[in-house]
Amino acid sequence: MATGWLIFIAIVLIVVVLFQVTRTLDLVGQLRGGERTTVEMTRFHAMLGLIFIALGMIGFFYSFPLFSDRMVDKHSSNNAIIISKMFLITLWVTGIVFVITNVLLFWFAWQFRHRPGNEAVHFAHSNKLEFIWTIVPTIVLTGLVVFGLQAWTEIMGPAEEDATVVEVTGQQFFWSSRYPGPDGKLGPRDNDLICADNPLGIVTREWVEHRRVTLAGSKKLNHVGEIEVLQNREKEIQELIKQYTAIIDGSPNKYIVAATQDTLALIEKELGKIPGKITIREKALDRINKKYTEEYIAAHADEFTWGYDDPMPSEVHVPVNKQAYLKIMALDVLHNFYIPHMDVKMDAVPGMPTSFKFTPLITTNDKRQELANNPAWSIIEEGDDKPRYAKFNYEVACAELCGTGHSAMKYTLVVDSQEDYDKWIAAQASKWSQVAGSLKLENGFSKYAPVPAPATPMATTTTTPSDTITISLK
Amino acid sequence: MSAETSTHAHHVDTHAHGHDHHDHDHHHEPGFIRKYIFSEDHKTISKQFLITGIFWAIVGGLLSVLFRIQLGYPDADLTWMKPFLGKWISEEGQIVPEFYNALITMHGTILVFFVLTAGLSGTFSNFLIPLMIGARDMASGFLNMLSYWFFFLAGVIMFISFFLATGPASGGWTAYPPLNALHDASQGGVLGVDFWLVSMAVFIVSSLLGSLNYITTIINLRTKGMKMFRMPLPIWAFLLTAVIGVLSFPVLLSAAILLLFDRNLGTSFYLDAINLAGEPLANAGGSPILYQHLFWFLGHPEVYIIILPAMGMVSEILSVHSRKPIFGYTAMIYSLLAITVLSFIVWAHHMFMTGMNPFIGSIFVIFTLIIAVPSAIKVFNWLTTLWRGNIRLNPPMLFAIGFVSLFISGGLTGIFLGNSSIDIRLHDTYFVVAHFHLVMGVAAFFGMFAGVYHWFPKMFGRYMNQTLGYIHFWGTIAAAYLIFFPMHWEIALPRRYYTHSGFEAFSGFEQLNMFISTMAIISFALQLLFVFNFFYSIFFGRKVREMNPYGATTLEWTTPIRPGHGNWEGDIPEVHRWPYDYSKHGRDFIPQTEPLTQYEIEHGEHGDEHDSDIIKSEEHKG
Repeated sequence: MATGWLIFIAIVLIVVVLFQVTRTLDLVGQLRGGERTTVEMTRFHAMLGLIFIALGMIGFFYSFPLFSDRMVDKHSSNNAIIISKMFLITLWVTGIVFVITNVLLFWFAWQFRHRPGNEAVHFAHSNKLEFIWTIVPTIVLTGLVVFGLQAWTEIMGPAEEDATVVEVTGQQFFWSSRYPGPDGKLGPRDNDLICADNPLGIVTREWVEHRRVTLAGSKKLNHVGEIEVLQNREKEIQELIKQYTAIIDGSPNKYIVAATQDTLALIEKELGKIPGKITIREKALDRINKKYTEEYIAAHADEFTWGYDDPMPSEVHVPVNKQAYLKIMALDVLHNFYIPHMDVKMDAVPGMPTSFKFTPLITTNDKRQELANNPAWSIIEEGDDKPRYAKFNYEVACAELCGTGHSAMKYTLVVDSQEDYDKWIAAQASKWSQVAGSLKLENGFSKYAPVPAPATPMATTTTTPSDTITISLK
Repeated sequence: MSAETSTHAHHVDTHAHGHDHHDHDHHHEPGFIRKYIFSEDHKTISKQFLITGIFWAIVGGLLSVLFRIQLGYPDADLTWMKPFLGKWISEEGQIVPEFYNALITMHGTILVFFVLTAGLSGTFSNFLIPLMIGARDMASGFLNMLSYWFFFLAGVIMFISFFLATGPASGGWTAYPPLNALHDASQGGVLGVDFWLVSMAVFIVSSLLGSLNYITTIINLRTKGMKMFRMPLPIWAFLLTAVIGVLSFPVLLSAAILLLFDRNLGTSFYLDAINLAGEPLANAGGSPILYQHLFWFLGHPEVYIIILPAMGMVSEILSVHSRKPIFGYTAMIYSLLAITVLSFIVWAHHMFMTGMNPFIGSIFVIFTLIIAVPSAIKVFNWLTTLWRGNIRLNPPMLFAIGFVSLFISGGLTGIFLGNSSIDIRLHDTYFVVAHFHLVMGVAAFFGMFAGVYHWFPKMFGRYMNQTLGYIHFWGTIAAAYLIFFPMHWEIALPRRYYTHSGFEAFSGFEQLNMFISTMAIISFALQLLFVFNFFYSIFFGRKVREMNPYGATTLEWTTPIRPGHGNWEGDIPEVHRWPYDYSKHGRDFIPQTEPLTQYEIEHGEHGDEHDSDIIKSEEHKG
């Protein structure tokens, strides 16, 4: 603490001394006459300007080799190649302008500085010059717009018919993914159906029935619905409030009173939210009942079978050299599905599905081999048995502020060879097969449902070349 | 009562340009409160804006120091801050993630709105408009006063939100829903966002009152002879800034009000299909993208609201201290106009990655890159203004030159970002952060510093300490470049991240982040030097002894050294020429008040590059 104060006092003293020096300098300048001081000061600072711009330019060029290797991936996907090309073109154009104009600026300040014998020229405008520097930027920018929009159209254009379709969904604070399964079709989704056993709200006859039961309850299954649970809790809290109030009024112990008051405040807050929660559930139940009538289900019989075979693996796999088409969704707030190496970046918007496509060009394994040649990646970090490159994975991040856990929304992309991908996707169990055994169904499974085999051990998601753990704050 | 009457009387005078009754007003010296607190004098109000702006700049800067500590020194033990910040510092002595988000949110809000909008435009529009166009005061002194006090109130509300148990808004300065529409999606969303929205609504009222006043004053109260094309460039910039504000701020107001409704009245303007942590919400049918359109319809023009006044003042200062007319006066005005118009049709370039139709994106690419043309014209004209000048490098001039440099460096990266294909890589990364901090953050600050150093003698009748000004300049420009230039290399790093340590892809920037943070702290300390210089010089600075210390042509230098309420003691001077007659006909400068000679053709109106030669030959004949 004492050193802290000493440092503080030292700083204050230095500042005071510096300030006195500057005051003296100013006064001396005034005494010697304004004009002479102006000339000298101008010369000094014009010189500083030259030094500044020289150092700045050296720093600018020096920083390229310093950082360019850890900047971005320039060739792991077709997007990366297209964008890197556009980036480089723009870098050259703007780089030249940057160097010339900045150097001229400080050069002029030196060259045309106020000094005896220097006179300013009354040069107010020149149509010719102004025409030149209107037309030249216009032409250059037109070029950049044309190239840029070509690249944009290529990246954002419609996906190919046979692209690998993956649906990714963001929520606070993790990603999940879903594949169409063997039938090649993603089952439809309905937010009203979301529950623990159906985290994305996939629509099948059974999941509709299950949600009905979990909301309204079922005497037949002896299951208490969420609405009733909430109503019971409401009564329970009302009862508790009476008891706690009695304690507060009656107890002589002020600590007990204080503690009880705290608990009371908590449950009163909880109580306040219950009616809203009940209403939301009643409305959802109402919508489910109105929407999923027998006629409606019959009319969509085919569609409602698509979801049975959809797997929800714990990471995204795509085959190399084949277009991947991402369907991007969000459940709560805005997220952004960002794969730095692939130049993939698209917002996930609640209520508005978005999409993005890319063609990965280097498999995860090949990328590891590529990195093995890089000394920074060959080191074995403390407490590890493998070098860094062997643990490399393409990472997915969130690029739209989504709350406290924004920086922890990590997910993994694995680029497989076609062969590895086929093996991997074949091994993925559907979400349905994992949860069907525990669904609450009054009428049992429909004839459309693949009958779940309860004895089979759950096929865990095999992570072929990967060993990363997906972080989730929850 | 007397103040209103007198203001009214001035207006009549200005127009009639007859006998001036101003002397009569000196009988009623206003009391302390009317003079310094609820003043209707534009000069006092401008100083109120400036000092409040400085206060908020310190607060906003301090917030950035805190989050830069988290980014650059994530392992630093900040337990000693616990007495001030309480639960926002974890048991391990680190800033907690929620507080980090609050810090970046408030830093952005405060700097963009309170400092670079109110602090910059409020200060210099108020101070310079009447002085430079030859008016006794603003069109409505009362509304002008209200404008400041609404700003003050907005600040109070925002300040209170720091002390909420659940903290201030933490969903980004753009306050995107649904994150900012839900009470349970973040701690800042519990109550902080409501304070934020109400504060913004009050702020918008302030901004509109100010802008309408600036426009009215410039259009109606110019002195005799002050044609539109004889106005100094800062006035053009303030006029167009005010026009942008009047047209775009109401859109933000509606966006904010609808968001308040969504938060508190159960409406669904921006909300649809939400399931928050397993809890379904009743909202249906809205669109989060709608908010983004409304927000950026202000948000993009907002960056021009910030940068245009700086451009205008820099043009003036470069010309005065180069002893040369601003090059291409008319082109400067038309490029300002072009920027004003274009600023309204580029907003969606902030939204290329929101899932907006890519075709719409293409249209916005075209308009966005077109804006580079008027910007380029301005830069080349500034450079040519320096060319063959007689440049005095005092602090205001250095800051003006620094502005041009920063505007170039930050502006050029806009060409990357405006091109939607490259934006796929750059959107929401530190490249963006580097870009906008250089081009509208630091550059606008440099414009503001240039303005303060240049007009300080007029504001307070004293000079600022020149040597401290020099140290302030070189320290700040070096620190600014050392912070934001290397930041471009963090091209893949997503912004608004509490930490990047969870990702292999974002590793390898720890040292760079530490360097940037160190520079940020140094830069903040340097600004305190300015604050000290500013307040010290108000009371103890060297006194101004001449009316026109810079040898400038404009009207503010024809007022007394310390102008009273009403600005000119006698008649308001009449204007006979444009404001940039420097080094003409062998004279250092010719004030705007001096009539044109017989053979002289006025520049800026019938601009002819040869006319000085013509005049010389005419004079020779004569």
